[in-house]
Amino acid sequence: VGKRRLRHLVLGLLTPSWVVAAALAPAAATAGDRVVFRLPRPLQLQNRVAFSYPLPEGARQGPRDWYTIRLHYRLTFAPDSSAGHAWVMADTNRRTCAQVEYTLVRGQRGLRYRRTTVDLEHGQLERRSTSTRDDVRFANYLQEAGVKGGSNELSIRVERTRGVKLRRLQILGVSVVRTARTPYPFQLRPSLITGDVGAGERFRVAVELRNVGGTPLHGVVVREQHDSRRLERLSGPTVRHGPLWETGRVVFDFRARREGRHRITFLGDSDRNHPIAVVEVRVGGRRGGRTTTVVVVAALAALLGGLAIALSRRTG
Amino acid sequence: MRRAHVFLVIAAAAALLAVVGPRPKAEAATARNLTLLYIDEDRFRNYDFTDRAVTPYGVDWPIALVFGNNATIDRVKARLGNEYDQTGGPMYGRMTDNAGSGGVGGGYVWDDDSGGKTTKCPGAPFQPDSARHYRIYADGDDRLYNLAWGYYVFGSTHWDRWECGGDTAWFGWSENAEGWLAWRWSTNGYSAAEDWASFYNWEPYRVEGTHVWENDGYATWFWVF
Repeated sequence: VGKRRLRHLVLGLLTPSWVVAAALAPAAATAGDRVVFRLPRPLQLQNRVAFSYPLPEGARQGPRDWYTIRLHYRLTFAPDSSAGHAWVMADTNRRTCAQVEYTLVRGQRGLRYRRTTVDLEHGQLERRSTSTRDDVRFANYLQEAGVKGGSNELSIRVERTRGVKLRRLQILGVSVVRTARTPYPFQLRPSLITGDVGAGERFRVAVELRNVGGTPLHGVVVREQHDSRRLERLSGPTVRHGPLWETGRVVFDFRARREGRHRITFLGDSDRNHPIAVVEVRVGGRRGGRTTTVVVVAALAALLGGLAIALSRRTG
Repeated sequence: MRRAHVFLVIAAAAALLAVVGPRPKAEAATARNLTLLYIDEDRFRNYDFTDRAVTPYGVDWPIALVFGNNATIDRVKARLGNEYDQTGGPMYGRMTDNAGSGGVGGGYVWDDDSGGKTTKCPGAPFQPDSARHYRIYADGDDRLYNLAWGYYVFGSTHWDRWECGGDTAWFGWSENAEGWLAWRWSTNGYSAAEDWASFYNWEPYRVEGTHVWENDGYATWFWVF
C-alpha cells in the first residue's frame, strides 16, 4: 500500500539484537519522570495478560503531565510458521497505545518478516529481517481516553493470523511513566501586528514559533490558509525557518478585501510535530475610502466657492 | 447441441471479460467541498482522488470511514474479508501523520489502495449486477496514530453497478454503501457509530457522468480492538 516515506532500519542477518534494541530505544528519561506502573517480573505471554494500577483523581493526558508506555519484549517465531501477520499490542483502558505489526513471508530461504511501528516519540520505524527472532523496545504516549483518575487497566496481548506460530514471547519489561515532556514541542502563536484594520487596508500577522522540547527542531515551515474572497495575501504562502532552538518569528502580509471577521489558519511543520493555530481578524469599514470622500468633497466645495467669488467680483 | 453452443458462447464471453477485465472505473468527478481535515496534528483530505493530484476536479468519493483505536490496513481488511473479498482499481488518499515522517513539505504523502469489493466484476455473466466497494488509506506503515483516535485508517465507499456489462455503468450512492459497510462490521461482531462526525463533504444527490453523488457529510466510526 502506497509509496513509503519511512526511516528504514533494514538490518541484515548478522546484526546483533542489541543494535536493534538501541535503535528503537525510547527517549531517555528526564528529571521529573515518574514510573506509575512497572511489571513486577518478566513473563511469558500466551495470549493476553492484564494489570491494574491507580492514577490520582483528575489525571488526564496533557497538557502538563503526559503518560507514556515503555515496552520491552523478545519474540521468536517457529521456523515452520506460515506466512501471515502477528501483532504485539498494549492497551490502557482498552485504548491501544502499542501496536507492533509483523508481516511474515515464506520464501526459498525460509521465513522472513517485516516489522513496523509508529509512535509519537520516533514516528514510523520499519525493520526487515530473515531471522526468526526480534527484540523490541517500544515507547509511546497513551491515548487521551487511556488515562483517567482512579483504577486503570493495562493489558498486553498478541494476535496472529491462521498458521502463524510463535515459539516464544517474553515480556521483559513494561512500565507506564508520567513525564513533563510534551509530544508537541513545536508551538505556534499568531497575533495581529497592526491595530484596527479597515477594508482595503494592509495588515501584518506575526507568528511566534516556540520550541519547548529542549532539542532543536529541523525542517521548520509555516504556511497559511485564508479565504481569498475576504483577504489577499501580499507575502509568500510559506516561510521556512532554520533550526529552531527556542523561539523564532515569521511575518505574513495581507490586505483586507471586505468587512467582517476573517480567520487565517497557520500550519506548522517540523521534524517532530505539525501544529495548527488560527487568528481571527476583525475588518472594519473602508476608513481610507471615507477620508478620500471627505477630501474630494472639501476640494469640490473650495472650487465652487472660488467660482462663486470670481463670478460675484465680475458681476460686481 | 444448441444449448451447448449457447453455453459455450456465454463461457467464452465470460472468459473474455475475465481477460479484458472491468470497463474503465468511474471517471473523475467534481467535489463541492474539498478541504483539509485536522485531528490533533494529523491532516487528511476529505475526498480521495483518481490520480496523485489535489484538485476538486479529480476526486473519486468523499471520505466517510474511520477505523480507529487499533487499526491497520491489514487488520481492517481481515475483519471485512468474509464479504469484501475482491479488489478493484486503485485510488489515492492524501495525508500527513504527526507521528509519521515530518519535515519540509509537511510530510504529506499519497497512499493508493484498491480496497475491498463484494464482487470483482459486477454485471459480468453469472455475476451480480452490483458490488459494494471500500478503500482505506494510511501512510507508509499502514496506520496513523494520534492521541484522540489511536491507531487509525480512513477511507471511502460506494456502489459499482454494471461495471462489466449488462447495462449502462454507474458508480456512487456512497451514503448507502457506508450504511451497508457499518452493517457488515456490526454483524461481524464489532461496533460502529454511523454518521459520527462531520467531514464537511456533503454532496446532495446529483449525477455527473457515471458518478452518482449522495453523501450526508458525516463519517462513520468503526471501532477496532
